[in-house]
Amino acid sequence: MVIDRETRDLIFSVVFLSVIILVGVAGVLTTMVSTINAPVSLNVDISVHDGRYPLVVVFERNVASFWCNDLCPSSDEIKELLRDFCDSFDKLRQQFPDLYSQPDAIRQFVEKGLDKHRFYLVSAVRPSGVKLFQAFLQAKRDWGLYESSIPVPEGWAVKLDCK
Amino acid sequence: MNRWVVWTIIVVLGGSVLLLGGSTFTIVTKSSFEATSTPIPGETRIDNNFYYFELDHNLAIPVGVAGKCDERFYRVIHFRERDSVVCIAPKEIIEKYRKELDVFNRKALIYSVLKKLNPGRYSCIFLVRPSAFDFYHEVVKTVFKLGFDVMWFPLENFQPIVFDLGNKRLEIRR
Repeated sequence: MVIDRETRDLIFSVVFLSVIILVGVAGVLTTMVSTINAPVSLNVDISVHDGRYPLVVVFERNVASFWCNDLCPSSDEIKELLRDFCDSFDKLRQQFPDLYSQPDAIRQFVEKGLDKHRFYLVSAVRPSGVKLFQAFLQAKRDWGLYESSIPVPEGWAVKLDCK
Repeated sequence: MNRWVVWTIIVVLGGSVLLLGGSTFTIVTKSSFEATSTPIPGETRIDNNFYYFELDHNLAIPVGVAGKCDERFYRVIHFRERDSVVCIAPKEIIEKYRKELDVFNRKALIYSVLKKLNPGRYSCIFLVRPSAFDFYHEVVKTVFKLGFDVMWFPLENFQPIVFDLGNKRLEIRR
C-alpha cells in the first residue's frame, strides 16, 4: 500500500497531537493530586499585646509542648526570660516525664514560672489535644494571665507571623 | 494539505494544553490551601451577653444564650438540683435542618441570627467540634466583619453542651 505524503503528514500530526494532549492532561491531573495531598497551611497572625510577648503552647495528641522560639522581635531581656522558662520546663519534664499530659501541673508551672507582665499564652489546639486543652482551661481560674487560642486542624501546618 | 499549516496547528494546540496545565497549577496552589487567622480567647465563663453557636462539620447550629438552647435543634435537660442545663442535638433533627444550617448556604440560619443580634450587646462563642476546626476559620472571619467579639471553646465528638448556671461556667462532661 502506498501512502502519499499528505496523508502521512496528517496521520503523523494526529498521533503527535494526541500524545501532547495525553501528556498535558496527565500533567494537570498529577499536579492536582499532588497539590490536594500537600499540607494545608494556617497562617496565624500574632502580636505583642500590651507590651506582652507571645509564648505558644501546642496541644496535640493529649500532650502540651511549648514553642520556645523568639517569635516577635524582642529585647535581650525577654529572650533570656523565655530561655530560662523553657530550660526550667525541660528540667521539670526530665524529672516528671508525663508532665506534658498533666494540665494542673502545666498550669502551676506557667503560673509560677511565667512573668504575666511580659508574656501571654497563645494555645494552638489540634483535635487530638482537645481533651487536655479543656482540662487546662478548667484548671486555670482567674490567674490574671492574658491568653488566646486557636484551633488547628489535624495535619495542617502552622506558620506564625508576628504583626 | 500544506505541511507547515499542520505543524502550526500542532504547535498552537500543544502550547495551549501546556498553558492550561500551568495555569491550573497556579490557581490550585495559590487559592485553596492557605488560611489566615488570629488567636482569640477560649472561654468557659458564662455571661448573659454570650450567644452560642455549635460548629460541626460544615454546619453552624444556633444554640442560643446560656441555658436556653434552641429547642428546634436541641433536646434540653434541666438538672434543677445542680442548676445546670444539658443540650444535645439529635442526629435526625440536624439531618432534617441540614440545608438551613449549612454555612455554605447564603440563607443559613447563622447569618439571619447574626443579623438580628446587636454586636454592641452580644459576643459570639463558637463551640467547635473536631470536624469543624477548618470551617471555623472561615466562619469567624464573617462574624468579625459584622463587628462581633468572638470567643471559642472546643468540644470533643458527641460531648454534650453543659451550662453550669450555678457556677456560671461551661461544664466539661464526658
